[in-house]
Amino acid sequence: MTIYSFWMFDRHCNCIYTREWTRSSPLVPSHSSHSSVSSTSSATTLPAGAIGTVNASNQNDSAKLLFGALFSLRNIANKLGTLPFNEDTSVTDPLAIHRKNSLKSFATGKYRAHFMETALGLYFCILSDPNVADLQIVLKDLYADVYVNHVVKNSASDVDFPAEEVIGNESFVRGVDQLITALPAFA
Amino acid sequence: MSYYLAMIGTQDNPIYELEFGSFRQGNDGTSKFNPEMKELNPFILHAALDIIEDVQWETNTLYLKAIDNFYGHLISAYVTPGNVKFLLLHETKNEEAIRHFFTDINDLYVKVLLSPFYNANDPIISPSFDVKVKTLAKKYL
Amino acid sequence: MSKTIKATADDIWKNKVEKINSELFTLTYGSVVAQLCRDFHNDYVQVNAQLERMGFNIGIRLIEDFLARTGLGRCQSFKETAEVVSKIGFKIFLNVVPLVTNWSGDGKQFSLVLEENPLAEFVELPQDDKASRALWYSNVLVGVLKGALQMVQLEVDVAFVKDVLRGDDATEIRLKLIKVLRDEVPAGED
Repeated sequence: MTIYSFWMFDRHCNCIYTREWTRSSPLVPSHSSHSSVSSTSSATTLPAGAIGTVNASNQNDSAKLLFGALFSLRNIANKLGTLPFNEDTSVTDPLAIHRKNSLKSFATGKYRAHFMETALGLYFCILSDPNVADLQIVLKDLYADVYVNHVVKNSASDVDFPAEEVIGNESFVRGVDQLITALPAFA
Repeated sequence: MSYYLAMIGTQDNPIYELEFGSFRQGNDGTSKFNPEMKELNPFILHAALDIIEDVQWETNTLYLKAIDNFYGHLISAYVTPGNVKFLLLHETKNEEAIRHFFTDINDLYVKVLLSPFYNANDPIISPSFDVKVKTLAKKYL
Repeated sequence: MSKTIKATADDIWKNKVEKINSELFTLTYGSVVAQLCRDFHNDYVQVNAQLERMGFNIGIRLIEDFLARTGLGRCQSFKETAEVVSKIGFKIFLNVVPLVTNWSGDGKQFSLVLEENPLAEFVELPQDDKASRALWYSNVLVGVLKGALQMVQLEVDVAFVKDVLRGDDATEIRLKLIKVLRDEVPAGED
């Protein structure tokens, strides 16, 4: 059981954060040619002793493909399965947000992609091997504990990322690593 | 009985002053100083400032009771932790009531200080402060 | 309003919110406003604009914190938005619950009436008429509401209508829904 990588996309459809824990991730072709030039320029340095790469694949075709797949599946889930809007019940019980049908994960032969979308249109995605069951709680913790505390509350970092900007601050990288490497699913 | 209250800031500048008479026993609250006294009142209190500066270091209480005497008129004083002095010129001795009066005036003064637009040593011109001081005077004196 | 909203908000306020001394908060905000007035030489229109900008920057971040803490999704109607903002939002961040009143006929405008305003405790505006006519002391709240609602795709026009500091009987903020913004789609999908 392993976790291969973690991706974040913002509501402008840009990839704002990538973290890969092993070179043998099924998504990153080891012979990436033209995209490797642009990806190293935005790669972020890792804290000492950590493995893998940070922000090395943000402009990759695989990032765009992954986003496309997630976006389409999310749209399908929203359109098929969302309950119709009922004015009366919504006002008395607005906490029933799960009225909307949302994508949780999809699996292929080599990996499973776990997905979460925040109310503001931020996409969180973890790629793990197909045996890992459900990482929704992990995704929610990544959002509520790591992202909100280190990026949103940090006045020096953007909230609305301009094109090609990534999340680079160290405390965020460390926070993500701490959370993920502590999971039992992480080999 | 008549009273003259003055609040002096840290630079010996007056922040607030009020002349009033007793509200007890059917008096209407206007001061009954004769005209010569009226002119002299600020000077009397100002002269008392020197005495305060000596006396304040001898005691660790804020209320300094009656510190000076001018031909039968008593002057009582109170020093705030911020070195702002409250002075009251009065004719009869009335320590306890004046102590309560000063303590409540201090509470009002602290509330004035809390407003962000009030800088230290500014004159207090708020009409609501005026009204509240008069209410306190009615209550204690 | 339903008990569940109030109970959720109280629960979050009690357990998940770090608290600081309210006087420290009030005094800090007060000194910010006083310093702005000094910097702009009492040009209260500019001060209002600055406060609103500061509030806007706070609002765009605050909404993420709010959604992460409460786990809520997007509201389905403007009425729902009003209830959530007043009962949960204000409760969590300022521990006050303003009243939602004065709904317009088409349901696109409403007022929030604050009985107590923690930003303006013990504040007395300077005595000159200009201040009491031009300055909205708590204008940062206007910016916060605008910024936060914009991040959830609602373009809302927010403004103060009455303020206790100016001598009115209550503090009232008016919110007008201008339009609902469209979500962005990737290039080529549309």
